[in-house]
Amino acid sequence: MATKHRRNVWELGNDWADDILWYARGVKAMKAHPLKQRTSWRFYAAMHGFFDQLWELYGYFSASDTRPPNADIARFWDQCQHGSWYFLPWHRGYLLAFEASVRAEVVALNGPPEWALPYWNYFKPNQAALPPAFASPDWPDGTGDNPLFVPQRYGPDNDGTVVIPVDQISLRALSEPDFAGVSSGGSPGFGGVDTGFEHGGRVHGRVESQPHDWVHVLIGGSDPTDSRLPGLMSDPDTAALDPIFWLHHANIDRLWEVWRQHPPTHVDPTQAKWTKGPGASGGRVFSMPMPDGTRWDYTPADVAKLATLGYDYDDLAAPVAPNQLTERLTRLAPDRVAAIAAGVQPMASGKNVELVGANQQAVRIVGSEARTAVPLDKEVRSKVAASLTAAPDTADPDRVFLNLENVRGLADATAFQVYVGVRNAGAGGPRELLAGSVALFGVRKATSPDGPQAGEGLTYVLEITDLVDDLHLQDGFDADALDVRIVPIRPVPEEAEISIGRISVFRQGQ
Amino acid sequence: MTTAARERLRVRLPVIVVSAGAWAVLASAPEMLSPHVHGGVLVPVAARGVGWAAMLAAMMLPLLMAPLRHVRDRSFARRRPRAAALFLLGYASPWMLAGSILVPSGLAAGESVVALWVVVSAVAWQSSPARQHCFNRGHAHPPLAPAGAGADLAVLRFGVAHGAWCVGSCWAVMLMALCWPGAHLAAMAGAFIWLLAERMEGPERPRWRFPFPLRAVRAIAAAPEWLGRRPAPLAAAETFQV
Repeated sequence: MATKHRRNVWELGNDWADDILWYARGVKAMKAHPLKQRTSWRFYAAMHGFFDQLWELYGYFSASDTRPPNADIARFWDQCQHGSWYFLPWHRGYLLAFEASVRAEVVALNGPPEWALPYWNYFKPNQAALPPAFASPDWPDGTGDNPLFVPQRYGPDNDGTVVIPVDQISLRALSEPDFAGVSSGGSPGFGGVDTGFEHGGRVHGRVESQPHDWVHVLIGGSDPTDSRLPGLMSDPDTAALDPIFWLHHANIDRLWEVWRQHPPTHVDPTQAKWTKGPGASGGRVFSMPMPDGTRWDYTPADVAKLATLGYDYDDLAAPVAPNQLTERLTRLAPDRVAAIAAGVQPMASGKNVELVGANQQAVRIVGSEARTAVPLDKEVRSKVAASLTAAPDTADPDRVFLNLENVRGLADATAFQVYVGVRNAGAGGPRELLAGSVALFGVRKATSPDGPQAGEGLTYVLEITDLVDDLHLQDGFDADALDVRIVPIRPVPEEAEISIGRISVFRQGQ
Repeated sequence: MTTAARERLRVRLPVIVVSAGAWAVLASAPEMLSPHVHGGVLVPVAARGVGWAAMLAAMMLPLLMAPLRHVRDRSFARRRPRAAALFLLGYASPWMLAGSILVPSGLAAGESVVALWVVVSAVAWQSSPARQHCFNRGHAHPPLAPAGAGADLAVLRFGVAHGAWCVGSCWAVMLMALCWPGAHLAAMAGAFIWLLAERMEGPERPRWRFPFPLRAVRAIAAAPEWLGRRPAPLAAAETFQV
């Protein structure tokens, strides 16, 4: 069977190139099927997540709809993996099955059997805007009911214009050496934390946090008249109703392969718990309905190798310098550059994760800024400093992470930048560094007392190793506290009820 | 083994050791809880209290892996043992209080027709939305103050809250375990297996239903494959390429 090629949506030739036009026709055909049909548009969206109240409000569900049989709901719906090391493999299978269903519709309409889903690479210059075919309510001939258009796509400024601000998205996740991470305060890994079947895990992996969550929320935004009404893309229970969802996830899927190839030391987990999936230990099985009426049950091992799946991407180039450790060691010991081996390989993250400091009280996010200070424990801080001093010899300096713990709220479309700085920074004066960005994709569910987190919210992990390195070089990391400043991309209203239970700093090392 | 799995093991090992010790104590002195008259002498209340505490250590400690990990992970390394001890102290307090009602009730039920009503009400409670809500709330991991008296208070409070939700979720099963004076240890073992299996389930929307622990059943069914060969990769994936 010939390999299918997933291409960059901005480089297909024109706004309504064949791949997009046929996608629109396929989507229209899927949308025409009733909810209970396994390969209908809404059935596929409900496999990611279903929330009857929002669906009803937005016109995707009504009393006249016949729900699928309970067995189908139990097997297929509410299946998406978030906050888990299954995030990437589950979504890859989801994309493959969806693509096969669209293709079946395309072929039924006498379209090309080699049709493949395009991807949207918002990182490329001049490609940050929503592809025009998705932004217009009309087909290319000017008639209405373009199935790629949805009104609940409010954008970063909640004005309906969707352009991803390139200075707010990042590919730093690609330099993460480990696929699997920890939920104890250290790196959550490139692909996520070692969990079982996890429909709404507490800690998101690095590529899931940024760019995945961030782009979801920037596209979706929220209703300008009520921040608790998310754009479709802003909430996991409505996201897959938006046709742009699939192009965003094709890009995330592409980034998984980019990470694997650059450098070759990046490898997927080999533990049976990952390769065999949660079904092998009694959890739910990853399961997709296929257009030929069959059911496809799959494991991460089934979808890990792109080359065996019958599709590829037209661009898998590495966008960042791969060897962060060499750069870091060189910066920590500039007088010993020659002594540092040029070919220092990225090492797996240290096995010990330890609290360095935390604030005492919850922080409420209201308006356009919130601040707090995180006192650091002198003893543990010294341990970090000692590790950095010894780094040129050990090639194994501590990494340091800021944790925003127990983030709760009612508005998934909330997104903010997190800055970290020190007031008494010695000769250099006060400094501040952008630690990262956080988008609260999934927070509503995690705030529900009967939800997967029993109402205690989500935890976000941002790496601040660079800042700590700077402080160490300046004065031996002698700061008593770190100042944390939260800057929402849009002012946060009271009724969003956004709060951060605790802000903490962790070291990860030997 | 992943780093996360190694971290889990650091909590699991001591918990398993302590729980196994408690089972050994109960096995060697089953009269601690079972008959309320032993050799013609009433078992003193204090001895019953010790027996109930041993029962909690044996049956409940293994259910506390997740909250104990939360306490460990979110505390300064030098405070971890103290924080875990305070959490357990808090956790035990609502259970000891509940024990003052459950133990006499269970032992009384064991000798009368009341046992039938105990079974009926236990099944009814197990199936209720209220029990599901208690079970769900047992998954809460609140933020913990890092230092000083606030840190002690935070883990103690977490322990009490977790214990209270756990009583709400598990009292009926524990009561059932107390209702069999002739086969106390076997009843406890059965209840323990049920509680472990139940804990494998995640939070669910509260509604009337009997929460049969399906995941444990599936895990047992999948065990041969798990222990044996890997599933043939891509066999299923190829079906959609045709």
